[in-house]
Amino acid sequence: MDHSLTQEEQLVADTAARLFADNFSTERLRAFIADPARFPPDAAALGESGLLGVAAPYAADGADMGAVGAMQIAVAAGNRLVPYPVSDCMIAAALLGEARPDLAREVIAGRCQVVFPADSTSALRSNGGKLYGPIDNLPWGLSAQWTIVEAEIDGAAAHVLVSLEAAGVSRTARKSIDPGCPAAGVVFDGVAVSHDDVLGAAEPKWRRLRLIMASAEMLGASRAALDLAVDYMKVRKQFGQEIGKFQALKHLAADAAVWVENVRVATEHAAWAHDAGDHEATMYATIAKGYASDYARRVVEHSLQAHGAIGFTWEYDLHLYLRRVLRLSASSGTANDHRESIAAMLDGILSEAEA
Amino acid sequence: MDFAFTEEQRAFREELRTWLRQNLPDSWKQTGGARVEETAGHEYRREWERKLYEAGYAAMHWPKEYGGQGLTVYHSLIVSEELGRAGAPEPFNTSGLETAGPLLMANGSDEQKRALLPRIPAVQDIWCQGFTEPEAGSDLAAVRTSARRQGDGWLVNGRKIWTSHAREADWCILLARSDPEAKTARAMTVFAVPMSTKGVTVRPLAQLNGKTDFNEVLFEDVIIPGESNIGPVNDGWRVATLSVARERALIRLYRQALFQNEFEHIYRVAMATQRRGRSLSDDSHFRQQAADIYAMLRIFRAQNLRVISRVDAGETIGSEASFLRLLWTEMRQKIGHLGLEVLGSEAAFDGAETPGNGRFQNTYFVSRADTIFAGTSQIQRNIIAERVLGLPR
Repeated sequence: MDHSLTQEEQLVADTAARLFADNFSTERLRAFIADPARFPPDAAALGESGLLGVAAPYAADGADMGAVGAMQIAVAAGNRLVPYPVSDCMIAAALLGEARPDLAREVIAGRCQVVFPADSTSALRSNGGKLYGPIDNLPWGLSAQWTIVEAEIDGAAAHVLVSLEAAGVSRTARKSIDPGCPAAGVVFDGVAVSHDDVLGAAEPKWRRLRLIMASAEMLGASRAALDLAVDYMKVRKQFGQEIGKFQALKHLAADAAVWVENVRVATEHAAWAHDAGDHEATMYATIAKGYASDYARRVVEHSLQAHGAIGFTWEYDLHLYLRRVLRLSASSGTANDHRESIAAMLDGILSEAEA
Repeated sequence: MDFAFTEEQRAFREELRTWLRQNLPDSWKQTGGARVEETAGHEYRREWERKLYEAGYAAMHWPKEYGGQGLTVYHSLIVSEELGRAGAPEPFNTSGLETAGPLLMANGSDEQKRALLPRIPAVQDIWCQGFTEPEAGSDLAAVRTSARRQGDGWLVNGRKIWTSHAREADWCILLARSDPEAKTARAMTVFAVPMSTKGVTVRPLAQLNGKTDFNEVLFEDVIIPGESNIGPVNDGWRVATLSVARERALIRLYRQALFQNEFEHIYRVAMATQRRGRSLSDDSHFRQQAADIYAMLRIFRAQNLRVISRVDAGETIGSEASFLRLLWTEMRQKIGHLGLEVLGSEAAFDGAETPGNGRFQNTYFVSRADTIFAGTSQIQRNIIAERVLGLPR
């Protein structure tokens, strides 16, 4: 047992932190928000770094480092509010690695985006080799070239790769709560699915990985908000002293620090269990996403409170972190949804123990 | 990053599980001995701890020469977890194992170590901790109890309070002000004092939950030998605070499994309780609360695994201990509330006749003390704010 990162994992974490710090400032993010068409996120450096292939198999030029490796990058992306579907592309590159290594390489190189619906796509129907139905929320749905959906093919849940430029796909912009992540509503009206597009069974491990990456992004974003608050408390003066000296504010910040630490450990443990194929991997991923969806938001709320009125302005960056956390906590199941899943698992565990 | 136990550690856990199945009385299993404790009390717990020692399940990571098993901190974690999971009696000689032991190991003379240490795991000596005073609670530096040189020995006068197990204790680990002239507030010394010494008086204090686990201890012109000090004279602050941090982080790990046992007990009772025409465990408010607690329980465990692997790697556990403390105490209070909710109208009673045999009421009461003893939650938040986040004092 060794909680610490391996040298390789640490290298990934450091590389991601440096890359995002150098290439994705909040000034750039604001330029992108003001005019996404004129200031698209610059993916060149990200593509060159190879980071998006962290979880992809060697066969697709990936690093095969699993969820523990990928979460280092997701944390850094959340921390810098990177306006790019970093987590989705890492997962897509891993998922595509075996069946479509050609496309996986394109994703890793930053030349195309493959994104996932924010929520379950149980409303999709397949009929005669064609897909029908809506995707309510597809983050980056307007700029991405591909999506991977779950649909029933030949009686089994499968992952299906769909070109967003194919005939029968219509996309409409939807106003995202997180302006750093534009969303689209998508409707499939008879989109042809070829044999090559069916990527295999929709195994639960992929959903698990998405929960872990969402938790990791929330960890990064909430940590950044708390850092802002702590820095502010050290310099802002009222009543002739730094407000960080006031115990009421210290305790707000301390509680937030505890929650950040809990989100971090929950996410790390879920990532490790995922990679190790631990029999409780689904429980840990559910706990991580459920806890983060609730408590990462509280961290940002405390950070906002510590700032006073300045934190409530559009000019100040704090709301950007709040908005990222709000979007992620509402996607892939809310805190309440995940708590219900935990309770359902507990019903099973505890009635078994009794028998 | 790797949280996996080794093959050997897993086998050790299985072996201990089997031993517990064979040796823990049925009345304790899953219910935490709510009924037993009322009748058997301390003698039973002392007996149980001795039994564990004889079976080789005490002080796992202590060196063999001091009565330990000479194994790793992982073995200690596994023992803690399995005892808690089975609902076994809570450790009795905690002050000996958590405070006196590590303090002696780090600071004691060779003679003190040889004479005192092996008797702790063997439950031959019970220890109590004489740190807190009426005017020195959260502010431990305000200790007033004095120790003055008198001839070859020390003359001790003062009053300690909230002292757990002082009546059963053979020894007291005492923090006293040893230099009345000193300008610094922390000129103190740690002493080992036999409780049988003339002038030591113990008065039991009735607690809010009706039990009398803690006491007031009076020291009136108590004379102890000159070589009673543990560690250097006037360096007691460092001795008392630093050397126990690591051990505290370790031993308290049994709590995670114990709390999970409490929680699962409550959940099972909820499954069997009908309320408003259906099982209480089907009520969505109950399910949300329960899942929130369960998430915290598992996060607490993951935190413990991190702590253990850091200790094993030789790192020191400092202010971060406050993170764990705030996590588990908040969680325990939620468990306390959930238990009351499951009791419903039965929570109007404090008896063994209610579901859970009175365990849930006691959990609730004790959980209110969890955020107070050994540094209140407010002190923990100050520690995090100042020492971890670097906010100004």
